[in-house]
Amino acid sequence: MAVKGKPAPLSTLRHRLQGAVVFATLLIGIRHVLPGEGSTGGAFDAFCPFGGVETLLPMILRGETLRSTNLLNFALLIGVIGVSLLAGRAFCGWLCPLGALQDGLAWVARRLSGEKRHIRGKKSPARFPVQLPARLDRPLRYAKYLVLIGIAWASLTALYPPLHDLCPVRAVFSFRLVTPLLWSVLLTFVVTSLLVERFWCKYLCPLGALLAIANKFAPLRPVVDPARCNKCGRCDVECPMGIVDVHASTGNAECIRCLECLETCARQETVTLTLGKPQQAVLAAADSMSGSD
Amino acid sequence: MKINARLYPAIIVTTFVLFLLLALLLGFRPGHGGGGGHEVEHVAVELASALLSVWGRL
Repeated sequence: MAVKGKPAPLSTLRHRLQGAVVFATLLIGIRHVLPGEGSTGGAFDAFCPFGGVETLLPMILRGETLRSTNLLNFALLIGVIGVSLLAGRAFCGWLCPLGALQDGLAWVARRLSGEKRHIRGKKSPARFPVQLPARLDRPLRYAKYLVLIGIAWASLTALYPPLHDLCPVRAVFSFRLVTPLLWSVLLTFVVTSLLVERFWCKYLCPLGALLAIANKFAPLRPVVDPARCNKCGRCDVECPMGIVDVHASTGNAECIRCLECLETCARQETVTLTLGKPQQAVLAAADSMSGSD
Repeated sequence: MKINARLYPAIIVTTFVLFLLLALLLGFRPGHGGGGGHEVEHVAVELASALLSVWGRL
């Protein structure tokens, strides 16, 4: 009789899924540097869900997509929006190739700067990646919304997607570093990801800014039972987005629904994945937490 | 309603694939060799006329 092994932790499942997404994106990049452009389904940019946002206004106003994008961008964007309607920014935490790379680079930074073994829920002795001080972190988090507005504005008069020459996905995965600007984007992306965990997601990603809106109403979310939570802060340590007081802010716009908090919590059934009316669940949790203070 | 967290990856991947397939079935399909072109214009016109007809009924 076969012996059933211990199931893989949730974070392992996440990293496997992220690995598969990175591999698939690499395949798309490799396919686009091979001969046979006619069978690639469009340019490399056509495989980006954010391309759908970049080309949305030109399509509505002029009836055509920007160059290097096509209808596939809208299909992917609809897929991402579908996930967001159900689970908020889960795409960022589980399916984004750039998010996966940043998680990998943060792991490398920790290993290179003093962490020998990761102990879940315990503050790492590694010097990097760091958390920016709150006075810098908070205003910078709004930068991604400005980037989103700027790109939507620029797309009105653009021929190519406004992010075309500045996109880290192109810089990392397209294998066509044809301009010095793309090289500098690649270098900046790697260095910032080593220094600050998920720098791109926290401060610059326009797709993350768009999906953050869904965090407010998406019904599938981690919910903290305030009666069981002892505010030990283990979840704060593991949060890749650096959210302060995770236990009180699972509806936070910055939350990428990676469920590291759920896996880290040492008390069973304290953080649970819940499907239902999010406002009521979160408000009830917040009320009882403020009552217990 | 509590959901088993181990089902979470399957739920989000399934949701993504379903919405992607729905979008492809609705006509958001890749063009060959680059973007732009008549098919885009065609779909845009169809979408616009569908929206206008719904508006008209309201």
